Amino acid sequence: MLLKVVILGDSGVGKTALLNQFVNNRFSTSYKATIGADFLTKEAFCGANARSVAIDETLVTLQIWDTAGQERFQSLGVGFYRGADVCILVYDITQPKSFENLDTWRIEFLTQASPSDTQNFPFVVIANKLDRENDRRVATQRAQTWCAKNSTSILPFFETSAKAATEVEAAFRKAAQLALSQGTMQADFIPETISFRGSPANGDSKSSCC
Amino acid sequence: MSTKAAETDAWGFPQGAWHATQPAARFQQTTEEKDADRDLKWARMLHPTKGFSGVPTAVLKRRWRKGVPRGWRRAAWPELMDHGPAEFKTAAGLRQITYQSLVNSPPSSYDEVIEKDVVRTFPRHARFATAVADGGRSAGGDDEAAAISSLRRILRAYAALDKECGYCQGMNYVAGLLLLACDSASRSPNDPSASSDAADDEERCFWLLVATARGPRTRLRDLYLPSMVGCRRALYAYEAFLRKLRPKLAAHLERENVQPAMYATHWFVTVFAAQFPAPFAARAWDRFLAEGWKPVYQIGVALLAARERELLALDFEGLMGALRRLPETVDVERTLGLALRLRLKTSDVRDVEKRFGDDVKPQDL
Repeated sequence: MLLKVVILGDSGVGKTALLNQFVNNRFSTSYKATIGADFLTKEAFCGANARSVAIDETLVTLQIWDTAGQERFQSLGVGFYRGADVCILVYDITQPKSFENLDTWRIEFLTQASPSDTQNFPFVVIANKLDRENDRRVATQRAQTWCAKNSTSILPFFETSAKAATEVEAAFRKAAQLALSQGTMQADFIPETISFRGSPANGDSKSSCC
Repeated sequence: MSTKAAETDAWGFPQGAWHATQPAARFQQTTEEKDADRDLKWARMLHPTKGFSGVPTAVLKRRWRKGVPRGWRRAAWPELMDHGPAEFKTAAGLRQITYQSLVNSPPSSYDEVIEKDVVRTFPRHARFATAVADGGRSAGGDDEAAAISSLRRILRAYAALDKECGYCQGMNYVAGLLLLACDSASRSPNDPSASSDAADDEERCFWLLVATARGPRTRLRDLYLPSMVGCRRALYAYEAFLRKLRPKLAAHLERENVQPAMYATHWFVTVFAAQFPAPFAARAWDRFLAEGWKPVYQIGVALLAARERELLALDFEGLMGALRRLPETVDVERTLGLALRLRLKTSDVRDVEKRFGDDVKPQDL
């Protein structure tokens, strides 16, 4: 099963570093600024825990899109947002501005990706650079309040360090799980569509194609 | 044992996986004798004050397409442009503006992102390296790598000069490449231009960046404007030329839903300076400065065409992986040779770029 993940956030908050830590279990002190977009995949076992219904662990392929942080790159008409199953919003705990911009990133994503259900589209918020706790300028409480305000259910929130590999795996797992349960829920609503598709027995005789 | 033992190439980049991929025969072609011979040819061709005047265009063109020798780029790049920095300054009425005054401009809203990018430009290059990221060195401090300070001043000065454009990510790699290519330390011994220091190099790079940004043939500024219209135009034109020149491959990519914006944005925003090895990027720039966007599109298509068979066999994920690794594995001579053989006329470029203008809605421009 394929899940599409998009990572957004201001320039320099550590999107590439988080991704590299998650996919390659590595951290480097010499990242280059991402121009345009980058794409990585990772396979993972993941369970979709939708409501109280436990679903068996499934092997999923995460297709993860890393992006340039500067706002003007949004004008390139980012086609790859479309069809995303989950969006990860990242800020840097030492940069209040990067936290304040989460609103913009969230709205930008919903506008560009135009998911069918904007109300319940899954987001995960990551507060990165926990290894620089001494320089922290965004309180955990403030971020939690933002998360509660911007979601009908609970918007998962993780404080991570890409450098120290703290909570990175957990954050991506949560994102995958949300994406998976989202997909499952949608499938539950429209089971007929799925059983009809490609079934010659249900072929409409009025169809004049081919 | 020294920790600085890692071998570097002629550009000062550490020898890595890419160097190992270059066919040995290619290196043998560029023996010392041959290099010396080419160096002399450029010394005879490029007059210290009169530039290339008197050199037949056909000869000059053949030579820049073979690549400007490493030691001659500093002198040749401004001369290859239709309006070099000096003429450009006059034409744009910028003669009264000094680089120093721009460097000393008040802080701008772009300083923050510039600050983040100067340490993320060529982090593996000794002249751009930071000891420790995230505050390990103090910004602008004495221990900072010299090229980082130059890069910061160049980018800030550009943002001060061109307020509508300001700073766009990607300019850092372009300015970085200019600093490495036009460094007087790597200048040919046959280049008689007055000996100069790092500060002079920096100022020359700045005006070269300005001329490239505003020059009618290179138009880099269009890429960096808040609308990034030049980047969208480049992606549009590249896609059109890929269809025209390699229809089968273009159709395969479209079927697999691989769009140019997904892998080629950095090619155009930096004219190959961000991810590609410096010897490749500089060769692309030899043509770009002299000929404008046509060779950029040819090289873009050639990058894929050189790997057509392999790419045709891949699905979406395989394609994205292979395209992502192109810079690490690019065969410089083969790709640039193929680019020259791809048939594209200047009028084709003009037509497609015009079609882009007609296709996009005015509010998107």
